[in-house]
Amino acid sequence: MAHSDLAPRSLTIWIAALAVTVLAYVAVAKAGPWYSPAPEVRIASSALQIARGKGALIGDVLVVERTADDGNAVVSATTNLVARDYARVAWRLHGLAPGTSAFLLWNTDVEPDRVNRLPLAAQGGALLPADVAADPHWLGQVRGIALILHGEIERPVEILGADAGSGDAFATIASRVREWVAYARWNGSSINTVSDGDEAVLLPLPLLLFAALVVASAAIAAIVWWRGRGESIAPAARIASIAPSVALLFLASWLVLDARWAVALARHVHDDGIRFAGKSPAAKHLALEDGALFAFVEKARTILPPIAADASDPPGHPGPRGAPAARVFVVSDSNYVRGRAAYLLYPWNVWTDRAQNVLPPANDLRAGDWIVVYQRHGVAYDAAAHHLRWDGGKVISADLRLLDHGGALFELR
Amino acid sequence: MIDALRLGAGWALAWLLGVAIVAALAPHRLETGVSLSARSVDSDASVRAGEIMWLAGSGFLAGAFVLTIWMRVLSAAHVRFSIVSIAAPLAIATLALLIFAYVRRKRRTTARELGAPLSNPLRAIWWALAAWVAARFAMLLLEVVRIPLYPWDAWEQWATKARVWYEFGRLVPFVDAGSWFAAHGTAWTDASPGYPATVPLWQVWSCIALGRWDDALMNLPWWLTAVALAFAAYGVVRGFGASALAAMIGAWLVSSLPLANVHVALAGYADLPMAAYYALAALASWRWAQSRSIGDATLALVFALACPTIKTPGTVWALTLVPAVLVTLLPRRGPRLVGIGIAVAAFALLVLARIHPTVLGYRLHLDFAPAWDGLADSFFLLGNWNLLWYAAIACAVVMWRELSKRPMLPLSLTLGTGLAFLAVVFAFTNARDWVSDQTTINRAVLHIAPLVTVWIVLLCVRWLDGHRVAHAQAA
Repeated sequence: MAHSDLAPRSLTIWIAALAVTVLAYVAVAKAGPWYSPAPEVRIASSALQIARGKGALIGDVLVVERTADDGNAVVSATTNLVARDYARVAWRLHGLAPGTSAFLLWNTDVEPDRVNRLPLAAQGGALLPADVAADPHWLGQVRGIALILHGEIERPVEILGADAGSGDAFATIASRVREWVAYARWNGSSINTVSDGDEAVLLPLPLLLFAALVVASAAIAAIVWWRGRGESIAPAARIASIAPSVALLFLASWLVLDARWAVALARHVHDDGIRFAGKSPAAKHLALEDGALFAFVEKARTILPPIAADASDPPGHPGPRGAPAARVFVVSDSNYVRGRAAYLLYPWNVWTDRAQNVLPPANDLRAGDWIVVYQRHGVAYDAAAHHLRWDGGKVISADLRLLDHGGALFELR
Repeated sequence: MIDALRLGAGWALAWLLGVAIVAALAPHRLETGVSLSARSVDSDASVRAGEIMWLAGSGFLAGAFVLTIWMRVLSAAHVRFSIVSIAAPLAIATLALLIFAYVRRKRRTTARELGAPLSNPLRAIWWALAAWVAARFAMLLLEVVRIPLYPWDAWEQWATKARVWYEFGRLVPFVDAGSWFAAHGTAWTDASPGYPATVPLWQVWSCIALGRWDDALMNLPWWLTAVALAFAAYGVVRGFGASALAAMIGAWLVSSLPLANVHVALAGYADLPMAAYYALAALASWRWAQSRSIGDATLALVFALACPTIKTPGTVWALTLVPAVLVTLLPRRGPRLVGIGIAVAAFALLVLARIHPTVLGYRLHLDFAPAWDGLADSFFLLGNWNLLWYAAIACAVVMWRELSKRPMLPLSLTLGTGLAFLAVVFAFTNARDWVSDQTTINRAVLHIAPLVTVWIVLLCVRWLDGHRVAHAQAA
């Protein structure tokens, strides 16, 4: 068998297989014709209005914080689209909670009194594009589109804008490529999952590369079979003869994914360099999203009684000469703030309920304990009487020692 | 600059200590030059080249673990943590072990040429891959030293202990909330007070070496762990008789798993250390299965013992090594015993259909309902693992004969047991909820992913080698 020339040629076969796979995908997935001259229409967040619910434009992002009393939030935009030229509408957003449902609304000049509605599918906190071409009411001139979010908004939904595209082959490929190379800064879920580029990806790149690898391997196997069709060769030997080529293609596919990841990593390094490089540990914390909390805790730390660990202390009795270190209770409406503030307050002896937004049992408190209150409703302090009271419960004598940045530090009497 | 020197010196000591320990354990095999591979081609050179990288990789993890053992001893003896109390005895031990290893090696072995030669194009590819891997680690180093402690659990349950232990110079107790109130200020609490101490002690040592608390720089050992894992992967593959290029490919694949990279950049979780110690425990066991040397056995035992001190599930991960050990110790009866074990486990699953126990916080009621969509996303569609699981399945199907016989059998058994553990947890318990939301599933899979990567490379090397030999004989 003359297969030794296959390995170098296998890369060419692989590129061809990749092209075939992409074409096959586009043939199935495109929402419009193979080619359309209609340009993509991108609607920026600044062109969006909140018609119902509460939110604000912060930088380039329209942040929707709450729904209206009827449980809906509506974001709208005025458009001037020729319906037949645009087959796909996409809302660019993230932060959508699993229980929130979303719909695309639109209105046309053909049916001016009718508001049309199409449910939108969500994936990983983002919305998938809507194929509107098949809808019988996607007609004439589309004068406006809107997004309706229904259900409880647990965390702010960040809307970056909306796009209307022809859904032709080029637009389909461009959308996929944009999804694959999308970049998001480190966030709370980064430690759990490396998303495949964007949060909503219609064709994951690993799947495409694997499909192309299968097609290329089949092509190589066919070539080997064709060349050796007159010889009696065991199946195992045939597999072995194509294995180096398949291994090479596997490594090439891995390299493509790795290169994508390396570019993302380089962007993280660049961003984090701007944010943190050359800064002191405190300055780095101030540069984080919770810098205000850090600033408050830093002030509180200067007020809390100093901790002087001594090697002569017996185990279990840290603190100056065996005296227990001050106990500090942390309360906040935010689960994140409770845990984060507690971390920043160690090595003081911190307590917080990480699971529930509850205050410590009043009976377990004693003079000399400290309470950190940060953005917590239901805590009242009577400065004249030095009385601290929460959630309508027992009154405790306390001194206010710090009030700053939305937080307060109390020392119990 | 001073920070870099202090921190670098602190961890260099731990690394050197581990290298000295592994070197002191290693001479028996170096002396005999037994190849782990069935091949004879370049066996001496490959084994020698592989040993150096294995020494470097396993050395760091051994040293980092022994360091924490020593810190536990100091704490138990009421000796306050300091550079002197920690570093001085370890430096003396390192020196003694290095001298011991050197004397034994000098007496029993002769120097051998390093590595099998590569052709110029392959050498160029080797260097290109090495540069690619180095560039990745350079980027990860920048991330780990710049970003203050960021991910959630890192500041909820790991660095909490580190901060307190660093300030007090010893391991003060952490207890649950109920006991905390009763302790009247003599014990601390956090989100998971019962979690093991090894990882927080790494952070404590970083800060002691630095001379101050710094919740970015203290995470340097995560980067070192990833580097050590790549070294060890290179060493194992090379020691198996593979070419330098195949070994470099193995190191590249292991170092390029995206989720493992994230756990370096956003350091502070114990999952990457868990993955590294488990991989090294399995690989050292597998090396022992081939060499039967006391050194490899000891090393495997050390890494296996380290597993429960990294994370609570480490106990189960360590137990997944048992089938491989059984098959190695009892070549005839071992497979039968493992088969009986599998039958018993299957029976236990059926029994659990009738009862409702809770183990390690997981409700172990048999309720077979895997979250298939979440599993497919995690393994095949998201960017966590590149093409790892496609390759694992393809290799298992195509190379099933090779994986089910020696020398691959013990490693395959370990992996099979580990994957069965994950399958039971995520298919039969309430942990399946974490599959749907893509949280714990990926971190749990991370524990085994580097080992799977090395297994794939070893299996391919073995399989291709076998076919090459058969083809040559037929010709």
